[in-house]
Amino acid sequence: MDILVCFKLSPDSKDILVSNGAINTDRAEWNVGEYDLVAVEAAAQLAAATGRKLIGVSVGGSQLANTRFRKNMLSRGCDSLSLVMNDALVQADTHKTAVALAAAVTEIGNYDLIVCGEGSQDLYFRQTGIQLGELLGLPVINGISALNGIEGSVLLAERSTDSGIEVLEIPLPAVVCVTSDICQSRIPKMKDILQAGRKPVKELDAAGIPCDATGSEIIKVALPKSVQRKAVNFSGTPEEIADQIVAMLAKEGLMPGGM
Amino acid sequence: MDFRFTDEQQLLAESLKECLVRSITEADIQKSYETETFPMDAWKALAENGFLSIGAPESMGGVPADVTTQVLIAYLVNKYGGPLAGFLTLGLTTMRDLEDFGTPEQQEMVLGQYIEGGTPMALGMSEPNAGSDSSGIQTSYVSQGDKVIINGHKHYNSMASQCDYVLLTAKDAAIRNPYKSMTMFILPTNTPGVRITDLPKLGGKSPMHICEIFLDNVELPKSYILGKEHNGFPQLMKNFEIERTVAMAGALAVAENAFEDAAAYSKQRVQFGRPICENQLIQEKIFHMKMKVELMRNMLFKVAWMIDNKMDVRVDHALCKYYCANAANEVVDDALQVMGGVGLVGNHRIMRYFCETRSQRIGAGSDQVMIFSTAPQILMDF
Ligand SMILES: Cc1cc2nc3c(=O)[nH]c(=O)nc-3n(C[C@H](O)[C@H](O)[C@H](O)COP(=O)(O)OP(=O)(O)OC[C@H]3O[C@@H](n4cnc5c(N)ncnc54)[C@H](O)[C@@H]3O)c2cc1C
Repeated sequence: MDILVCFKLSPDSKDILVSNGAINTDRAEWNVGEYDLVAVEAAAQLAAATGRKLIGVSVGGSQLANTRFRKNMLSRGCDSLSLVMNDALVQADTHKTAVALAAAVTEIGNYDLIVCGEGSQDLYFRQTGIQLGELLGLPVINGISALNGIEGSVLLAERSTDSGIEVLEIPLPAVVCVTSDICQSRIPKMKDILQAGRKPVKELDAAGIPCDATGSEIIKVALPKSVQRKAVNFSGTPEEIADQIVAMLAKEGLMPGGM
Repeated sequence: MDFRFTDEQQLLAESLKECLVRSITEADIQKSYETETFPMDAWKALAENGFLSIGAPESMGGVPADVTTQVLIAYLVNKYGGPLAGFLTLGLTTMRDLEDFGTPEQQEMVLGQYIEGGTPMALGMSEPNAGSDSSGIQTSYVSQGDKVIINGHKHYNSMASQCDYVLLTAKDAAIRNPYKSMTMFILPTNTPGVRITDLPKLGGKSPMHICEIFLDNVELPKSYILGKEHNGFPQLMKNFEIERTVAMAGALAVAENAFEDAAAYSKQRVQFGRPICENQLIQEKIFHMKMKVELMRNMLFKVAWMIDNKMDVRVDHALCKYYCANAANEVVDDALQVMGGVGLVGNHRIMRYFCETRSQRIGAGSDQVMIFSTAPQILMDF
């Protein structure tokens, strides 16, 4: 069985310009964010350790046709890529993305593990992997901090929590989302970069993939205006302080619906 | 005409930059200058990630690469790797010499350890009486059966005391004509009779030592001759084309860093109630620095491209060497001017750049050598 790893092509967060609270991505280069590159590396290490193939999966717009992007992902341990390109998927919300991914991985078949990253570099909703597992009816666990191996049809993994490390045996097939510090992303070697162009890329027939699942609609992405700190000190009993804070928020018009 | 790098070159550049950023910081670089020790750990990281084998023969696990790609690598290592560029510049230059003139055994001997994070071959050409006139060397050898005995004195040899091998030029004592008597040797620096010392240099402490080499009855088997015996001079001319091109990748990187430092500083430094970048006199410098950096880049990669396309670069590589060396000095000088006292007092990297860039106009063929060796060739077309 193959391992699938999902990643998103998105505007590079360091190229994003902010003016008057509006976010401008026109001049941003599109690439795969660091969190997703870490997921690819974690999946690639597991694939190498278990002698499996690793297939990179992404759904998105025509940016996925970029040959440099494809070679980049193929130089990082993916044996092949399977892509769904449809402009309806550009900057899609997590539900629409998860629905398209679920259809894509079902068409790819022959997998028992899907690895996702912690969140995308641009919007970082951390939802897609979880929704993908739900749509596929598979066990899904996020916050995975180590992928230790596969024994039979069980994935051995770890999850760091505040109170300690959970050692998990996850029945396969399953979907996992790994943390951004599960490992370091790979530094591709020249040899891998040269070989990347010879690895297969499959463009899945977008006609068979639902690309317009309605979820939320993103009307605008904006940054809150930065304002000076008010530097107000409250004093009194906890009850009095609570009342003062509420009164202050109401005065600033920060209590929609009023008090 | 397409000025873009290929996908592979762009990905290689990203990957190399990432490796450099992860393995060497400005603090590491400063420490290496203070202690005058080459940052061997970061150098080994380049090797582990396969960057030193780029351009080496495939039979040795190398990856074929054209000169454009090698110049791109040299540029990035200079831009992000500080002193790592010292070894890399020697490595890339002598890799070409070994590939063009070396036997498989010689390639294995020198490059085998190099691509695993060992040392490059230093260049042993200049002598107290042979600077610009590289044919004037007095280091000589006599043949004795299948070995030679070498005597002489080299100086200004970059990093020779830190390298396991030196590419040495010496003349056959039995031949008068200097152009027909020169032979290149691969000299292991631990050969008996070889003594290498470090010389003081502009800028003071540095992890890249400049050395003197004393050769006292040094015995070498003839199998250590690089290329053909007595063919040293034409081989040296080929070496210079690559050496100068790779060295100018360093001039470009340093000028670009100096420009970037100065531009950022000019936006943040406030005098007379506004950032200094709002003054036209500063903007003029920003404009000129940017323009020169772009011209350097264009010239440099054009020469690399010409070499890859087997074109004659005798004129073009000299124009590039002269222009880049001078433009780099102008850019670094302008950058320092914009940064004021920060460029003179403290430990900003621009201070290193100011001292090191000056040697670009002397080493590997001075300004004057570029002009007098090239102008007659330019005139031949008229
Ligand atoms: C930092 C540094 C690193 C170096 N690394 C190495 C190395 O690794 N290996 C190595 O072998 N060498 C190395 N060199 C030596 C370098 O190649 C020589 O310095 C260079 O060839 C000039 O020789 P010179 O310094 O003896 O100057 P000279 O040749 O004595 O020149 C002095 C001045 O006279 C000018 N001049 C000379 N001849 C003429 C002429 N015919 N017409 C007009 N002007 C002329 C020169 O341009 C210069 O301005 C290095 C030098 C430096 C500064």
